[in-house]
Amino acid sequence: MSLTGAAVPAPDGTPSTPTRRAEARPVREALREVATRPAGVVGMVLTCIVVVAAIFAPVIAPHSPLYQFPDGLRANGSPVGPNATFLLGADALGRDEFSRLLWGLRETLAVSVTANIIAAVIGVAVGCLAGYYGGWLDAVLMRITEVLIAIPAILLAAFLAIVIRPSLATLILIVGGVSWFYLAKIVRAEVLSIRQREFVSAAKLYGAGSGTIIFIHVLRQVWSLVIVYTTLQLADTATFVSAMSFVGVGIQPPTPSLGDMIADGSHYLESIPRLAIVPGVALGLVVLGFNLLGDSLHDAMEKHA
Amino acid sequence: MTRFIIRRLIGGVAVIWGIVTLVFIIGDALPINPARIIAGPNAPASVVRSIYNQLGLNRPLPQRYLSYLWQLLHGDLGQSYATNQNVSQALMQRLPFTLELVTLSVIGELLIGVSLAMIAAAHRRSFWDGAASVTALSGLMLPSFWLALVLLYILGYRWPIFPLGGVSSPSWVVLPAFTLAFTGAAYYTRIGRASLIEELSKDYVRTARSKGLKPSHVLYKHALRNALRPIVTMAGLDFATLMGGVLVIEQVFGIPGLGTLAWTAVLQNDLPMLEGVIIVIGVVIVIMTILTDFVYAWLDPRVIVRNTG
Repeated sequence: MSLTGAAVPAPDGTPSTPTRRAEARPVREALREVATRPAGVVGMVLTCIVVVAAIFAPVIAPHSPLYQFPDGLRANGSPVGPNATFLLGADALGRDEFSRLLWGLRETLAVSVTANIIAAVIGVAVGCLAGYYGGWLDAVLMRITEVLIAIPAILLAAFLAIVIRPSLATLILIVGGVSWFYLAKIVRAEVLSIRQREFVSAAKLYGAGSGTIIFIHVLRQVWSLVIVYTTLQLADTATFVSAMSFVGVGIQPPTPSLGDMIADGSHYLESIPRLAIVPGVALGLVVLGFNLLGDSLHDAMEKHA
Repeated sequence: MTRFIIRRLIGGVAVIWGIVTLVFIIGDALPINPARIIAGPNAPASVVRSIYNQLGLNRPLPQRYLSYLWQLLHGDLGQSYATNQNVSQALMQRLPFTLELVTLSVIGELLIGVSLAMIAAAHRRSFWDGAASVTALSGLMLPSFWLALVLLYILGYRWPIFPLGGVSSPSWVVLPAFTLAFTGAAYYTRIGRASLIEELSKDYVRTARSKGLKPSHVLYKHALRNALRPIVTMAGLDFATLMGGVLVIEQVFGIPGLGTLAWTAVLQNDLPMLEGVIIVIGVVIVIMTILTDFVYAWLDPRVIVRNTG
């Protein structure tokens, strides 16, 4: 789906409207095309800003995100507004909001990206296996996927958080573990259609074993699709991680995270609305950037008839 | 067609069995002692042990699993560790709130999403197209719990039009449903717009227009009906996922639904309650998935051939 109107298959592989695609274009060419559309440019720029800010947070941030400045709070205890030292003001504990924002972005993105890489690996593996071998393996894998989809991710995370203290590693594993389902279905649909094409039969004629066929031909076709959907998925994952941090089972304080900042800020909505609004807008920009980029990449990769 | 239906139903039962088993395995593997939780931290070891035996936790795994399945088939989801009330009862008390919220949210999503899609498709590439898309985008990018807080502040506190959370007055559902509808509408706008544009370029639309029918008549009566197909199927799945996803919104607005029930269960280590919520939500999701598949198959019979051929 895209704002520019390209037709696309539904997540379970059933085309909602017929795809006009014959073959996927390579990534580099697609990126060049993306740069020509306004939505794509905005997406690329936002994503770059966000990623750079996250990577270089330790360098860019003027202060430590954890240190509570005595002059961050006024005499009556309320935090100071934006000034020379605190670019976005201080938070309720006197910490620099701007530094916390940068570090929160970094933490949230780090978890999201790592989790998505794990999810991509699992999704591609499951999708390829199910699509290529078909039959009962396909049925079993798809049923397992459906079982896992049916359990709401946040409840699953809460379920595990009862006794396992949510560390960063378990958080990444949980988020990665619930983010691969759509990718698996999409990869499977793609593999199913590729399997029937001539070059797979041709490769078989050459005597290539089935393992070779999968890894060389199918993966090459599939990986551009993986890139598009992983980019889109990053938006969802970032929101999910923030939602988990918001309710308390995500990134644990005092490590800064966007969801945690929103939760803190929610207590001061009447007096200091910026505490909740700023991280929310930041998260929104992250989601927007990844969505626009993913959408434009998707459009660009489809060969228009 | 019947073969398709039977296949899907069997698949559905298999998935439900999978959910139930997975919940049992995880619940069993957790390093907690339910007897200790019920007895409390100060009870002597003998009391804990007797509760343990009473609960039947000393039986071997296969026996426990089978009795668990047997109880489920009778609709018995166990007793809560925290409040000692019947889990099924507690769930049934809370379910109507969550259902009302989710239903109204999906309807809201459809209303907002489809209207925006129609505006965008009808005035393609003009200002209104962009405006509709931007509106949809803004809903997409804002985290729902953030928007919930903002709306609660503005419309619940600053200008107290709506209640500040809770379910005391019938208008309690407006703010949460609107939050979910606005943030979820974007997907429908995108698909709806693409689908409508596709339909509008088809031959039968050209025929209708050349017959002299007004463009708006064509849009509403003919193209829309066909374009709604993917939207309808999406709505079914959306309903299902929203059942679990409203947890955070319920927390923010203080709605006594399944989400908050699950959350208190987490905080109190109340395993049967949490398992009960997960199973109920899982079953609803499976039912909705199957219904969605049937609706889609009815609308597009090619799916049947593809899936049973």
